Amino acid sequence: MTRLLQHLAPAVLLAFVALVTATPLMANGGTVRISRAPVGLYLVSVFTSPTPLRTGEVDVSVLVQDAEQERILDVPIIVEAHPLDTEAAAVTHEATRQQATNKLFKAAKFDVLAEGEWEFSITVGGEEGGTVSFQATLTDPTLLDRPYLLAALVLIPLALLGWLLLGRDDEKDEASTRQSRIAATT
Amino acid sequence: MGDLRAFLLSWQFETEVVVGLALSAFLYARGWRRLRKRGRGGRILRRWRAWCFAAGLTAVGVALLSPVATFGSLLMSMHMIQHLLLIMIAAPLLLLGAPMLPMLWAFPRGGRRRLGRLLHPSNPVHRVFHFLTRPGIALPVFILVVVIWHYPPLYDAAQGRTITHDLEHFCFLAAALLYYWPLIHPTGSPRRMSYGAGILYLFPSKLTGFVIGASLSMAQTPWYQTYINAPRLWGLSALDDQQLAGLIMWIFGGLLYIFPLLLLVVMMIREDEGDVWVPEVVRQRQAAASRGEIEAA
Repeated sequence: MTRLLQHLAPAVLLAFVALVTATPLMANGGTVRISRAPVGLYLVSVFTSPTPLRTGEVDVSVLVQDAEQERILDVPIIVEAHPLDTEAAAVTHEATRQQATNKLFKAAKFDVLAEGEWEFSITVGGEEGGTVSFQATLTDPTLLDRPYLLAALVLIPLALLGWLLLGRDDEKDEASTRQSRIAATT
Repeated sequence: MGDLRAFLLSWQFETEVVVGLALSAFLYARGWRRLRKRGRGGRILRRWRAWCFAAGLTAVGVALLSPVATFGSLLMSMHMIQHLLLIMIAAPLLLLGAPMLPMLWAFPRGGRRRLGRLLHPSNPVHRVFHFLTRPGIALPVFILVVVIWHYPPLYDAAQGRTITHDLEHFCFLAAALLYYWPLIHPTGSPRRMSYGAGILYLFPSKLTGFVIGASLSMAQTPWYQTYINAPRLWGLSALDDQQLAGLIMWIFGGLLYIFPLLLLVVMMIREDEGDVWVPEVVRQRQAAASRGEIEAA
């Protein structure tokens, strides 16, 4: 059983590394786009990530507070992204707590596939709310944006593979040494 | 959802942190088990050391993945707690875990030998590390890192999800590991500093924390643009938050220095009473020296 586990260990470890590195590198926080903007009866703050914004999955996180900034409010939030200089389709998503890392926020995570200028509009609340917007430039991502991701994706699995699969085990080493000693004495 | 519940649920997933922690725990556990099985490791391989290492990894995880990290971009006080966790809790606990020997033994014989060569005194890697962990180098490096990263333009540049933020945390943890190294000397090699000198060694860094903490808490205006721009939570103004962060650094940072200080005093007293463990290397050297003296006589 132990031997089976030892053989499975590299596969389990590699699967784990692959799984975690494949997870989108997103979280709330990031760049402040709008800070405490009055929208109807509310104050709205908006963060985007990743920093800088790249095509692919984008996270727009919205915090809605009362005018005194003492209470965090649970109101419906819709995020829309419109391209300003391309033919790409506009994207509309509802922001929810489930998508947010910081659970005081509501977040919308969606794919923006075309690079260029985009306008993001955030519609907050019903009749007591309103809409606020900002513009951002999206560029295509490169692996150099996260060099350690590249290292993690390539070097760690390779190093582990080399070590765990090709490395000789101590027990085997000692067993062979013992055998050669016995052979030498007999 | 209540604010407290929302706060407690705000954990984040950082791939590089999770991979790093999982790999470190795996290597330590594998090497530790191997060494224990063979009855090797001696005094270094105590169960409490494994617990210290686990606690150190947990502290790193809490600092970089928990709500403390998530709220660090909104509240400076949370960011300060994050830094204290990395510098004053995680770093000494990781070193108390004496991870070099177990991690080396996690590798098969060939890999262990290759890595072991790096640790040989004639190897440039060893020489650079030996130089950096000199008390006269590690202490100013640590103070410089702490001071530089509190300089407002740099601090602001490090916020958001950019590589500078990861670099800031890496610098803090690395500088703290260098700083605590000569105090804890986790390899079991001869001490490079007496316990009495260790007490003096703690003082300048304590003073730095005191000066920065007091300056932050007594400032009349907020220093950092990041927190001036951030939404205010629970009616806490940017200045209130900064003053709270300063107090955390000043008071809690000061309290955290008391533990190593007391430990060093106890060790100094025990050393005077001849009740302190002497590493095997030192004992052999002492024995050789006394043999030499006898022969010379």
